[in-house]
Amino acid sequence: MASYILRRFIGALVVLFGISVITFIIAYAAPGDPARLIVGAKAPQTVVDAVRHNLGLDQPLPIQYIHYIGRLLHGDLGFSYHNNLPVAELIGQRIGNTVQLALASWIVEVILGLPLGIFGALYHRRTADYILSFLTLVGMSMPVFWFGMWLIQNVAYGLGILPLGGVGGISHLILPAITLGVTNMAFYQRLVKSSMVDVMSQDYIRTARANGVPAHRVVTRHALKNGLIPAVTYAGMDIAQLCGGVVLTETVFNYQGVGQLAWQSIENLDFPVIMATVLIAAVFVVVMNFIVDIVYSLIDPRISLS
Amino acid sequence: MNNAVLEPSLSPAAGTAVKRRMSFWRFARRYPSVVVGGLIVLIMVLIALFAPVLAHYDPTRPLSDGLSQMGAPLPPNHKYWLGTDTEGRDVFSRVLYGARVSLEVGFFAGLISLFIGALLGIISGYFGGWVDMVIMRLTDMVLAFPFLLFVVALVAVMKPSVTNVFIAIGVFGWAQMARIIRGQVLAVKELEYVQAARSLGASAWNIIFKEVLPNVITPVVIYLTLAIGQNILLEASLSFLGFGVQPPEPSWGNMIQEGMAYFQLAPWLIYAPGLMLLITTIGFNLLGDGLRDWLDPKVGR
Repeated sequence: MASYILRRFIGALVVLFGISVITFIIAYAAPGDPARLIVGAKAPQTVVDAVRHNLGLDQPLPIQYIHYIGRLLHGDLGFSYHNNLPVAELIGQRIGNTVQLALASWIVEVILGLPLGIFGALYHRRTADYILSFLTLVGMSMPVFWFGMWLIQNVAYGLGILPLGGVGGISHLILPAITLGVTNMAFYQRLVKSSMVDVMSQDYIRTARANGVPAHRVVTRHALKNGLIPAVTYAGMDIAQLCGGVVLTETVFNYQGVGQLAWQSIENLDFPVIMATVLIAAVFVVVMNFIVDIVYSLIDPRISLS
Repeated sequence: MNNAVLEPSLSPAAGTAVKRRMSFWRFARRYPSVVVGGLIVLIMVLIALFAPVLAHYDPTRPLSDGLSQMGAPLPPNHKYWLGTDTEGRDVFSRVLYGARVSLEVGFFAGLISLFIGALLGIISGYFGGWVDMVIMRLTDMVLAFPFLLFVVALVAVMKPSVTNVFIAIGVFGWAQMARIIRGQVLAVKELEYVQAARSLGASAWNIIFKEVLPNVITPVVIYLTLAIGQNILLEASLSFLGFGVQPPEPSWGNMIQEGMAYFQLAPWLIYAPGLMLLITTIGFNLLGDGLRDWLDPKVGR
């Protein structure tokens, strides 16, 4: 077990290393000279060169990378010249909003998706399942920004009961959480259903049924245990993805989160911020991946640790 | 491609028109998703191909009578079937041309991902060892990146255009494809006849092309179909954010973006491209799901 965790841990580190290299290279290759951005367009070339030297931008690429990693490890994500603030501070202002939205939409996703998935499996290939499958098909195919706009128009504006956008309190979370939660739920319901269908067709379930165990007991006592393992994994991955920021939903609802910040930074070609948001989102995913792998191996004895 | 999909149960014996019809209906009853999804995709492909013939007006040029006297867009009427937009352009023509962009991006991005994914997946699965480990870690990295954000950033650096959009989507969309193909190759590699070919001295590439590739085609076709649908959504998202197809060239995503501020005043500006997008994606998802039920014997029975 310990060696399994260690191997997974090293794997995660390798992935993180690779991600930092890729973001670094793209930031390096990006148009625009950071030194020029600091001193302004009118400064003489000698000043630009001096600033470049001070920032270490005249050193070879690998050395620059090592400095970059060193700064990252000290929590220094760079400086946004566009906002005239450290990137860490910019993100710090918004990460709370993003995590709130992530949790709210994740709750919508799981609360709807889990029971509907189990329900779909119980009624597999019957009318109720077909209707549900059609609805999730629509949910999967729906452009999330379009759905968000539709909700703003018809619920917030049409019924006049919820704010049109922005942040501040639970009322501001409801519509964006529904937008994200419902579209993600569509994928989640399908996953839960197919996993439950797989389990329900296995021999031990059939045996339990043949032995006269009541249907609801077969589901709650026997099928759920194994059927829900993929559901747990997937839900874990989803919360990580959501915490990294959701560009479209935050943009449509003018929600001041990390996703909106990322989009605005791309519009301004503000590379320190872009790279930091990409990096943070990736770190969420890698860390969660690692946790899920470990939890998975603990709850599912069939996973071989070799 | 669609004809082949729709007539799978044609045995050599099914010679007469009546029988052919029967078998088609039986197939349609058994795999309605394939037929309905295939039909939607076929219609969208036809719309994209024949957009210049079907469109009544130039999608990019404002029409002289395209705005009301107050300067507002016109609601749907007998002349402009889906109304006009805020610049007085015909929405119907724009929606048709939008299908071109969507399918073009969806398809070419899918092909690029397929090519990279197949290459890496086959190498990874067939050769194994450290090659496999390196490629799979690379796949993990790509999958850990926030996909949309990364593609948007890439397009912003490369300058937004249709070509750059499908390159960016394709170049980052291969990871899932590589995983699927690798899994298939691992399974096929151990089959007896492949082992036999190997023991007879067939070269690696010979085995890959003659034995392995034919066996991975089914999952690849299924995944490619689903991926095209996702790519179309992604293109629309990029254009909506302003990093995809640039105005005045119409794309469903930038049409929704342009109409966003006028939802109240001119809802057709949002509904027309939005519904086309929704129906197209439903089509590809249905077709992909249906193909899986039909072609993949492991599922569904």
